[in-house]
Order: sequence, then C-alpha cells, then structure tokens
Amino acid sequence: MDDRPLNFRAQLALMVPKLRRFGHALTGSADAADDLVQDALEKAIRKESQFEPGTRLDSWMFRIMQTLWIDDGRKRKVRRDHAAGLAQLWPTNGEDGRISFPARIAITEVRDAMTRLPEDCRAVLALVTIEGFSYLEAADALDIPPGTVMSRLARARRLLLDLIDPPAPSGSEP
Amino acid sequence: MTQDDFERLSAYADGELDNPRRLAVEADLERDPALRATLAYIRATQSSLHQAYMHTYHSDVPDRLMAVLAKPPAKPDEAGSWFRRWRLPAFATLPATAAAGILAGWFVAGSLAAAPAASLMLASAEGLVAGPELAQVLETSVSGSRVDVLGAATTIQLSFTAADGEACRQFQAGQTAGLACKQPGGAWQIDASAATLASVHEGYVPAASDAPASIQAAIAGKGAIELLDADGERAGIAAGWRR
Repeated sequence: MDDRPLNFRAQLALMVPKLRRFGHALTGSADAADDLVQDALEKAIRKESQFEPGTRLDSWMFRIMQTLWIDDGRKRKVRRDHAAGLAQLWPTNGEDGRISFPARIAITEVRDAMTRLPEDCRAVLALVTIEGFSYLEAADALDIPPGTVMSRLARARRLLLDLIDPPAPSGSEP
Repeated sequence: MTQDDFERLSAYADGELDNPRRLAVEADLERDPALRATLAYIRATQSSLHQAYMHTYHSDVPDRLMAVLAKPPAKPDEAGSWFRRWRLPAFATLPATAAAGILAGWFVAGSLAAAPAASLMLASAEGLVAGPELAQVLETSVSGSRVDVLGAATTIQLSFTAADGEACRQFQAGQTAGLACKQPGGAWQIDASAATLASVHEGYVPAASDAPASIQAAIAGKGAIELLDADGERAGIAAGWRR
C-alpha cells in the first residue's frame, strides 16, 4: 500500500528547496525565508503525529510556514532588510538565459514587483503560479475558501500588471 | 475591465473555469483584442514568475536547515551534536545540496528510524549513488517499463547522453523522482532527487516533463544533451552505459 520509500524526515529533507522558494515568495527575503523554513521544520518535527498520512505534506508545511509568518513579528525587520537582501539574492548574471519567454517581461522586473505585493496576495500567487497548486489545493493549504483564492489571485495579478507596466491593458479600456 | 471580468480571465488562465464559463470567456476573447492582450500579459507574468523562482533554492542550503532534520527525536536538547559526530569529513567539501541528498540517503538507509536496510539510494564517498537494486534497473531497463524496486513501482522516463558523453537516466521510483548518471567507476550517481506527489501506478507513468524543478534544473545543467531513442537505449544497455 505504502509505496513511499522515504520516511517523514527524508521527505522534508527533499522538500527543503521548495519550502525555501515558498518562504522567499512569502517573506521577500532569502534570509528570512531560511529562518522561517528552520522554524517550520522544527515545528513539523514536534507535530509529526498531527500530520495525516495520505495528505499532502507540502501543503501541510506551507500552512505551517504561513501561520508562523503571520504569528510572529519579523515582518517589520524584513521590510527594513528588504532592499539589501534582494540585491545579493538575485544576481542578474543571465542564469536563465537559455530559457525563452513568451513575452518581453524581464525576470528582474517580475521579482521586484512580487515583493511589492500585499502578503496575502504573495502566498496565493506563489502556490498557484509557482508551485502549480489548483485553487482547491491552495485554499486547503492556506485555510481560506476557494473563492478567496480566486479573488486574491486576480487582485495579485492586477497589481502585478500595474507594477510591471503601468499602462497595461488591465486599466481602463473602452 | 471590471474586477469580475478580470477574475474570470485569471481563473481561465489557470484552467479553473467550468465548461460553460470557459466557453463564454473564449467567445469574449474572440471578439475583444484588449482581453486577449490582458490574457497574454497574465500568461507572460505567470511564466516569468515561475522561471524567476525556479532555480534559486537548490544550492547553498544552509547547514542549519539540514541539522534540524538530523536532530535525534528523543533528545531535542542536544541540538546538532549527533549531526556533527556523524558528519564524515568528506562531506565538508560537498555542496550543501549534495549534503542534503546524502542526509536524505541516510534517512532512506534507515540510519535515523526503523526502515529496511536496503535502500534506493546510498551515501558513498562520491556522494549519493543508486543502491544496488535501483542500479540494476538503471543498468538494464528500457524507458517506460515498470519494475518493482524495494516495493516501489519504478520506471525509467528518459535517457540521454550529456555533452561530455556521460549517460544519464531520469527515473521515478514510488514517489521519488531522480536523475542518475553513470560514473566511470561504474556507480550511478544521483545528481538530483525529489519527493513527488505522482507515483507510478498500473498503467500510469508520470511524464518526464512533470519532474520537479530540481530534476529539470539538473538536466538543464548537463548542457546540450542528446536524447536516446529505444535503439539508443538498447545500445547503452548492451555497452553497460560506458562512454
């Protein structure tokens, strides 16, 4: 029945890059993301018995991270460190040069815009567009109704369009 | 455009609309160029966002994150001591991702919890390598065949030679996806592995292209690769995958 050769901690170990990525999207800072991931891993190990086998471990971890992030007061500190953190984090060395994009939006522009979104928007956007979650899965992970996922996502995208290109067609078209 | 219109379009881009509403949006798209432009923008943003966050997190994983996972459950107070004691000197020279993989290998190998002694992957002096059972499959199976490895339904999804002639095979074993490359010494080194939601079932094999970002990044890191067709695979099997 159980065809997973990995135990709980091994699954977490393999998931660490994913958690860091979500943490980064959520906090806007690589350092804050690693702090958050560390706290979340510690909490997960303490609460292992509460994890229901057969459900998504990544969703469970994302929810723990989101809760920790909301609960503690590191947001203010991160905002201060934000600009500095971004600069060292995202070297624009053309690492993605080989990948072709369907449009002319620069990655740096998107990254920058992402960090300027409200936090609730960032979490939804990260789960759906970066992790490929469905609306239902995102709703489950963030413990919000699916309708809220849909409206938050639309709000996030509209803000993104405005941030990336102020006269974008999302504005007042006839 | 109203907020409702935009929401509908956004949900359309995510494939989240039911049939009637999807068709309605498509009809609107047909006659409204501004709507099409907005959709194109949503898609471009989405794709850029995905790429922007794709490659950054598999390297430079801080040791402290892995140390949390290596902490013995029974004695939470002795933070990290177990980890340090068991850390082989060779690991100090490995990149953190490899260390993470090795830690995962240890867990798989049952060093931390009761688990079967046999394991998919093993820590070795060269890093994480396929265990004998998995190596056997990597050595002898053609893509798409479904075999059992230590109770995990396993399949090879893709085979290729890297620019330097190294032979690599992408596999899915149970819920573990991985990329293994044959080393001159004969071992199949695990260049990347990740837990996935999908697993191999009767009649269902996850697509190679559905592999986690870490696997795709590892493949991308191989440079100009040459995919092997069935004949190429058979030749590789016959030659023991030597360069």
